[in-house]
Amino acid sequence: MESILEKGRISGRQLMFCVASFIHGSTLLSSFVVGITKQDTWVAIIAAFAVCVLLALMYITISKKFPGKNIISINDIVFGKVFGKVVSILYLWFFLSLTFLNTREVGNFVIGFVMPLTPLVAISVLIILTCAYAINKGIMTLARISFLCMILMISVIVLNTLLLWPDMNFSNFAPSFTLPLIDYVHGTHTLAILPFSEIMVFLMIFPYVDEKYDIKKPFLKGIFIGFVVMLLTAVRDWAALGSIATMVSELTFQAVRIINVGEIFTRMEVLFAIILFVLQFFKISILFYATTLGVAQIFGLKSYKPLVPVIGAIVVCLSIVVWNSVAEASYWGMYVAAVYSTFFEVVIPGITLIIVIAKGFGKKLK
Amino acid sequence: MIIFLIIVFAIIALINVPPLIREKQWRELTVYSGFFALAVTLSMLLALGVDIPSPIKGVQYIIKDVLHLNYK
Repeated sequence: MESILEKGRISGRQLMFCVASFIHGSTLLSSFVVGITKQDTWVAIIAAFAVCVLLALMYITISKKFPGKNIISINDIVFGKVFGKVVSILYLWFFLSLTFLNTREVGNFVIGFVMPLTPLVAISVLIILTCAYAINKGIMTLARISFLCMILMISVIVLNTLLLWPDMNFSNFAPSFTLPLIDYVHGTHTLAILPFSEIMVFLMIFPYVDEKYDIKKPFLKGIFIGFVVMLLTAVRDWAALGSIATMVSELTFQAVRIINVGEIFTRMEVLFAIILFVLQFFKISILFYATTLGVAQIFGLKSYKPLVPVIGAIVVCLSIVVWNSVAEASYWGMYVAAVYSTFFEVVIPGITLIIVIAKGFGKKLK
Repeated sequence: MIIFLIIVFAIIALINVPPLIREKQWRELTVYSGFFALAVTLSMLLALGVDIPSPIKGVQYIIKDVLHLNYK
């Protein structure tokens, strides 16, 4: 089934680039975690990375038991034909919701910081049009862009860190480990689920990694690159801004704004805006691709391509109706989103893995 | 705005539908029509200024006010 829908194959290295770009795409807009864990955000990031590696091993184990099958077919085998469809529809709703929530996040950023008077619909339509064009070309094209995304992201971050060096003050990190325990749990949970474990969507993409590559190594390496970049960004931003960081809504954007080296290197926030657009384009494309492919697969279609424009139109509409204000979006991100995503990223895959092991489905792993 | 929407959706249908009919992919055409109808309805309601309830707010209500699983 999957081979009919998507003929392209990606290499292990491309999978690594995809995962790294995907994780950093989420990081740029989830800096609100700083409001929870304050100067100890770096601790939460390290803990979240550990949690994410465990979850990633779970996804890899599930995927390796059923080589060449994506999560929709795995659900059909594990839960049976009827209940499997129900679980698959839940997943597709999750992918769809992430697609329009991320589209809205970019819209909020553009309206808040770049073009305040533009109507939201114009931004959403442009984002979705670009993504629709990309996924019409298939997964191989997306995977090829991922290398460019990653090079761009790493070079911009290294450049910004070097230029921000004079403004950093590492005494901002004192005092460490003084917050109540619940804040660490909350921060780690949010970080592990929101930027990191959204890579669950790669369960839709694993079957298209060429058979001669092992998915485990590139996947974990990609997560590691994402983690290092995230840690670097968080430490840099807190060192530069200090406790002002808890008051601003776009942390990295504000941190990069204060760069001023000899009156020449200023206004670096435009670089941040560029990588935000590029990485969010990449992330929304992957999510949109997973949604469309999954819908086509559930209905047993021969091609997902005709569905791209119509599902795109639905995503644009939902991205407009989803929130009335930025405050609602940030409340959701800070207090509710982690719980919502845990259900899809931890609970359902966990149940799948338990059933697979208990009933001895799939091929035996050496 | 509504005329503009009709033109856009007509263009989308003109690009996607003829190949499906030519290759006699009736199953694809049925699913496509279903999603097409949903997309047209949603965007027309938006263009007419109808207040569409946000699905994520529904989810938030379940998590926050029914299950009490949210932080703070």
